[in-house]
Amino acid sequence: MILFLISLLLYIGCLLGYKPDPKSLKDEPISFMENFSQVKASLFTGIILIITFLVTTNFTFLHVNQTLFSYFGLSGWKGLTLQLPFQIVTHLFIHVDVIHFLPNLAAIGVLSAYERRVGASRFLTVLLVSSFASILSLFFYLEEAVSCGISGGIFGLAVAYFTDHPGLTLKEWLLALAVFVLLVFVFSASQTRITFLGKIEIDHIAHVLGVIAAIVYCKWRPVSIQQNDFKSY
Amino acid sequence: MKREELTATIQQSLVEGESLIGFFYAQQQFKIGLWFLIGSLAAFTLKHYYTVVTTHGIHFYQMDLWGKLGQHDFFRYSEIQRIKMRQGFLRTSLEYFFETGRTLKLRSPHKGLKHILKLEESVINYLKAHVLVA
Repeated sequence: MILFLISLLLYIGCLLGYKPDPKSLKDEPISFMENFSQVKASLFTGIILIITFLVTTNFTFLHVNQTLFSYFGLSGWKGLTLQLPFQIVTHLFIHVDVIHFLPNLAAIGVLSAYERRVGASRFLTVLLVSSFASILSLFFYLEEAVSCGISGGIFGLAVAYFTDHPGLTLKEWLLALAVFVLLVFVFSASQTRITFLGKIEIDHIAHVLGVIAAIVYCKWRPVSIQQNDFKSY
Repeated sequence: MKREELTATIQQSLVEGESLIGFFYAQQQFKIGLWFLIGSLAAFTLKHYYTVVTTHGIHFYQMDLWGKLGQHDFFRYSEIQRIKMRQGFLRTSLEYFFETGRTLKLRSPHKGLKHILKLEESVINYLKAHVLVA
């Protein structure tokens, strides 16, 4: 419970406490409410994730309840038919343990910078498109696997942060993509952990699918200059 | 952006009767608190500027991730209260205090390789003649 309170207060405090300078040097510093409206989607996404994690860990904020995990996690494909349809949505909010959860939460907090630039609706759209695209990774696994977490969506947001700018030339777009790939290699080393649920592997295929979906979406519906013209970033 | 290309772009953006005194590269450091919060990702909050000193005032051109000129702000000398200047070994710190109440602290190189757009002595003297420099 202490870890829950620390996470919640740190997350809200950092998002609302950090006020970037307005883009133009002539603009007044942004108010508290302006700052809130610029990060509202990432703020509420994070809070929903924190509360869901608290509930699914039996209020310990450490390990997910095994029954809830098998019920809400995306538990594989049975001859192309999903075991439980609602798992498509619920598995995004389920995390195995605190080591799985906190980096995802921190990443959403950092990627609020993308929301500040493009607005809440595009932020949520990219998050959802990438998250749902990452589900397809289950097709790549032969053995029965349970998938959970929102990291596919987070990778989609991360690539959008770098490449979703109006009027980029191909060279600039490729450079932005290269910066993203470099960061992924630095921050996302391959790991296999043994927990009470058994062997846990990072689903790199889901991350790649999330990235591809975000790139396709951002190319299909490019951000307009007006949409990009926020007061601060 | 190359020096010649940049000079041409800046010259084109000047209004009639405005002439160029000099321009130099400047960098705004990230907030140190961000380093403790997000680590090395704080480097992405570094802001790079070209400061253009003209007879009418100072133009601040912010560069984007690809080195292109992005956000542009112009301040007449009357809109700048004062500039706090501290000269270091390689770089000069210039803190601008604007009439709007905002401040901007930039660091510009005054020594370095030939291709670097350095802060020249002539530009400093021009600024001292038109703005209160402390």
